[in-house]
Amino acid sequence: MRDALPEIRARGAELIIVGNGRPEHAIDFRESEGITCPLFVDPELHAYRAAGLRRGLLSSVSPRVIGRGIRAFVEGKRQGETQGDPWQQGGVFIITPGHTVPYAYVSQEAGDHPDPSEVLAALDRVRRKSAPAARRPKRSSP
Amino acid sequence: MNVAKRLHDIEVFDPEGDAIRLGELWQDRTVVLAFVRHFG
Repeated sequence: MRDALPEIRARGAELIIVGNGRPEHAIDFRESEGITCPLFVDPELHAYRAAGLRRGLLSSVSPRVIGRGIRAFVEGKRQGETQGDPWQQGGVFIITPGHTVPYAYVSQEAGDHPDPSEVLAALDRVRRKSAPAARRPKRSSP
Repeated sequence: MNVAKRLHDIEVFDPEGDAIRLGELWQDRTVVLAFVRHFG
């Protein structure tokens, strides 16, 4: 999702990252990954729970996840030391100032991420809805 | 109550440790709120 940041901003939105570690973990993450969008932590998982995100051993170690882990390992991707709750799953929500949620994705297991193009398409729909007149082609006068 | 309303009053912390209510983040603009599994 972070790779889509310029396209998210081009659509008038902002990417907000929430992690489940402690503030010092966020500092490490921001510096090591070069994060330029707002970044927050939810150490007690209050927001994760309110968002209905999954947590548990089974969602973290399904056979598919292990397969992905092995593949990533073979391809040379090594996950660094985990910071935060290793059993917590993630998710992505588009939220508008009117409190509508035009897009929601709850990760089912580790490695299950939304397709960034779907998120961008949802942002396009939000833009069209909020400014329909600006997008409508002008009627030519007779 | 939808997710936005449930999240609105929940406090999270920035990397410097300062608290902010999540709802303040989408007061003026649409946001893509991404919950990550973990840092690192």
